[in-house]
Amino acid sequence: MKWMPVGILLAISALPVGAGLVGTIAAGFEAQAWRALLSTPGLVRAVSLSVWTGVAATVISLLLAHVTVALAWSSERLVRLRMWALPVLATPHLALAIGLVLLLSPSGLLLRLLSPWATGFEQPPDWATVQDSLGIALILGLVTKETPFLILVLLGSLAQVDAERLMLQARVLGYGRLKSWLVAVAPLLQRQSYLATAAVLVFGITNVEVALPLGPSTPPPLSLLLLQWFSDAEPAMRLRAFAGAWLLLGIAMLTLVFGHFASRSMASAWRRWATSGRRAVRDTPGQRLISIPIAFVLTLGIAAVFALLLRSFGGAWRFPHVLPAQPSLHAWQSIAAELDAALGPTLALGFATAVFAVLLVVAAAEALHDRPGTRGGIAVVLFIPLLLPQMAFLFGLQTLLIKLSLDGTFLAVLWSHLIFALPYAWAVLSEARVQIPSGLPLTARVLGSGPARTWLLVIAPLLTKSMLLAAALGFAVSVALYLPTSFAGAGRIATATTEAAAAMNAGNLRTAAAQGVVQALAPLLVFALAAVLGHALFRHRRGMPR
Amino acid sequence: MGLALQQVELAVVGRHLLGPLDVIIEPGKIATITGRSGTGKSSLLSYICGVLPNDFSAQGAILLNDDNLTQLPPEKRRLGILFQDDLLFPHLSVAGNLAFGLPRMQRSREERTRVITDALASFGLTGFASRDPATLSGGQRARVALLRTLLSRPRALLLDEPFAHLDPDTRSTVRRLVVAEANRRALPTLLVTHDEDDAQFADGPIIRLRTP
Repeated sequence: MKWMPVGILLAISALPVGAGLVGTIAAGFEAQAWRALLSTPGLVRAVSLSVWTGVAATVISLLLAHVTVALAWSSERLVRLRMWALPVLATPHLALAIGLVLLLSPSGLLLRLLSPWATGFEQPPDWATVQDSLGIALILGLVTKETPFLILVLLGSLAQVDAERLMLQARVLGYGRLKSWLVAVAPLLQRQSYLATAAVLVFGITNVEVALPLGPSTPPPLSLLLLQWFSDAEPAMRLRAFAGAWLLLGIAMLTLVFGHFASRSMASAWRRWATSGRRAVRDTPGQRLISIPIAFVLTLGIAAVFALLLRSFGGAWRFPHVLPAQPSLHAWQSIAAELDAALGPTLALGFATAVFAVLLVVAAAEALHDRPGTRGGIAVVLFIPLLLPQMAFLFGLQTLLIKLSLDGTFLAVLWSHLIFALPYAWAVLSEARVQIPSGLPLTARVLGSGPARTWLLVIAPLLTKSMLLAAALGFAVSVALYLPTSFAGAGRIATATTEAAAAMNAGNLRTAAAQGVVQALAPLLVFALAAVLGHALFRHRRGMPR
Repeated sequence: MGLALQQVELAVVGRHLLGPLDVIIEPGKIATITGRSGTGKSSLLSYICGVLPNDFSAQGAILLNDDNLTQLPPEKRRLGILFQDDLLFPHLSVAGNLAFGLPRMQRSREERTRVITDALASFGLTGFASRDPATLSGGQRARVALLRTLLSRPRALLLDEPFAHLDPDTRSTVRRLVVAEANRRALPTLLVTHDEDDAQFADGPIIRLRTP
């Protein structure tokens, strides 16, 4: 009885992922499919593009995130940093990438601001500033989105590390500010953020959301090739997609293993530097320069969100005008019907995901609050879907759903969203549950409350803030998901995300921008709502867990 | 009559920790258990309340006024316990904390408020009803915690080093208050401490535990 909530939680996550993975692998087990796959022209280039962009983006994002947290921590800029990071964080990958296209493409906002007075351009130039064949724009897009994410992860780990005293210790020993941080605190943060970094790496290699608007198309990265093949009506092409999913899984896992060993050897080089005795007391010019790329990345993210808003509010947008024609609500009304159709399912899925994720996780966290070992195990199991290429199990899962004639149902899509929301909800809520001093519920019991009343009157109020945060995260995750929605939904359930991708594919940037705004605005509003509620409740109780 | 432990033994993950222990505490008397940390003092109190953690095992009977408590869930035992940390509920006001412990014998809202107001006044805490517990001093928090326990009408009192975190002055005030209340209400009381001073003050039988 006690273990039932834990069992249900694990089944919801592991069952479809396991079955989907087995399905994909079984379907790809076909010599003919492999022959077709390996004879694909440009395959090597597609694979190297995937690996190159994913690895480069992860390394850059991680470096920037660490240095940002180090620089911001001591100067009390953390609060402002969170504020800057939030809009970009709440904006899903796809929406942000569309925003970057609107900003950076030859006919984008940036060049319009400079034309024709500075550049002399009356026509957009024939430059490959996005979808460039080296994947630079794709890397930039990933970095813009993942840096704030990793900053937030590192800030979250900061709660578990006694940074203040570690820093004091290092400073007292005579080390400079930045070196103190990098030696005494950063390694602890990195250990706490290990899984999140791995997830960023796998997503970078295998994503569709950023690659679709920003990645090169001839040839595209492997993930986009697979998507084309899988949506092909030709059975042979679908078969090739299954074999390709093997390949994607293989390169993602290989890169992960390689990354693990690379980080180990980096750690030993870092140890040599840490124990060299050099104090690095004075800030070098190089240290000051590093805040430039950080500011650039954060500004780029905000500007992309702004470009998204600007484009969605206008009609025709002739180069080199900065503003689209008739920037008005009228322009919005013309696509309101389209937006409206996708808005309902988007919100319904988001709220259902939030509610079910919180319920499932709260019940399991309650059962496991005094078993730290098991809790860590659950976290790892729930995190697995974030460490796999989504297509590796979604291909197989969709085949399974068709067999069960569950594809295209709300339930199937909701379930697929829960798979991705549960790890975040678990991270927030299982930790919050442990933070409640065990004496409080025990006191309530001794004072005469039964288990149910104790939960309701003591534990639930203390978890309220974390439940709100977990719900907002679940909502944001659900709104952002593209592949799970389009696979489990079988094209019959349209959300802002699937519609944005469709519009992007059709080259309709304006609709894509409008759907992107919905995609970005909905989670932002929910985060704001959660923050306001969390602030208003128990406003006069300073002893509440934060 | 009173609180009786019969052949109580504790073990943690299979390792013997404490006992067998036989104690009888008369109403209004305070028995003291002393011993170094790790001797299972606190776990004994947890066992008496029925909130022993999972990795502990225990046997032996707990009798209160010839009522066998051993198998009852904690909420049915009607005992009072005070810990080192006052463990006030941070999401409730002072009055809310007291009302949480107050039995449903007082039914109407007015009656419950009156009982709480009177109780606060008797402890020198007039006007504290709507305060946030986080804004109280250590001594005030200790008094609210004691009041919460007493208002729940316990049949016996268990004290788990409740004075350890208080500064010397507050400590002696709160200690005097606790002993006076235990006597006045004729509560059999079991005090766990590693402070000889506390034991002397309690003026009852002293049980010294040795390291297992």
